[in-house]
Amino acid sequence: MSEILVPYHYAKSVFINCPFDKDYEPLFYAIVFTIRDLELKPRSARHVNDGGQPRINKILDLVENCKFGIHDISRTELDPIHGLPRFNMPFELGLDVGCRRYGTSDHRDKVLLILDTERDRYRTFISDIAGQDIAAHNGRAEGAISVVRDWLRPHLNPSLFKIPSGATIYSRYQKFQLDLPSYCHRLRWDLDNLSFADFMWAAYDWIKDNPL
Amino acid sequence: MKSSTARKTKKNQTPTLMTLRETEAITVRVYLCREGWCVRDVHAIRSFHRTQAEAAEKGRAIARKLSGQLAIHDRKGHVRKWEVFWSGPRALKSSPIRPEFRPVNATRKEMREAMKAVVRERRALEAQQKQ
Repeated sequence: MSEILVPYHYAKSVFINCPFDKDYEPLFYAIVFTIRDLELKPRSARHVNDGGQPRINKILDLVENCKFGIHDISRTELDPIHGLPRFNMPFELGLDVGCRRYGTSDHRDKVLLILDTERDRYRTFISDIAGQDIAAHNGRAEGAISVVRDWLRPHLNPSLFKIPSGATIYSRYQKFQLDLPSYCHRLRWDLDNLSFADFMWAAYDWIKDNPL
Repeated sequence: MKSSTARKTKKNQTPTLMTLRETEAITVRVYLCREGWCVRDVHAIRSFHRTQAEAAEKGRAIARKLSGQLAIHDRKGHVRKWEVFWSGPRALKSSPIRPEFRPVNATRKEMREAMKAVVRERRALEAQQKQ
């Protein structure tokens, strides 16, 4: 008998590997809200606050502890200052693919989604990933929500999870966005500099008060 | 000996709702892994078998003992069949998973109160607009 090495929430955890810049924030928060609304657990390197731990170890832990992985490789443009592309996202995607192949028997059921701005753009710079689930969000929150929802739907048991349509989640997200400024105002928080932890708690409370 | 299919609630008792966590705790899964067909409950892999039928039989016995449910996965990992081993009413009560980190910039109480007030305000406004 072999012991399971994966944590309790493994089958409900979704690792979000995406850029952390300001331009990407609306998409990132839309994806986080979608995952929360489907009663799953979004996880990102953003909220691992252990300063003493090397960053790569945090990412390896997240890859190991999440069944689902969303990898956005849309930020592969050249940096205007250095003239070099960002390799972090494709690198972490590689780690996740490797974990599925070489991890324990529990990791064989890992499910990955690769997001990009356009559907076939990846062929020009990372053609080895052909055959994976690759979807385009066109840089819009609505697109990201429906892509993530449609990708997760076949993996969720309808008798255990309420699975609303992408449009329903998007309209709920819009309502949440309308409530967020007054929520931040009441708590004297800065909406423009909202931390990932605060956003997660806000989304958690809002979903609890506005069930499907 | 108490039967595994005994009622979980008395006839005049209100049936209790189960959370997703509770449902998962009584779910036994049979799926294919490198070592063969394995039987797994929420805590550990219980055994490996050469055929799916053997694994399903073992899983069925565990699920029956737990008064839980058995999920038989196919080779691709999709659930092929659910078998439920309870007779009493067991409705599901889903609840969102709490974030694992503590709030930093406010207490939980303040956050809950703020969100409740915001939602209350919005609902009042919506009701006013409808009228």
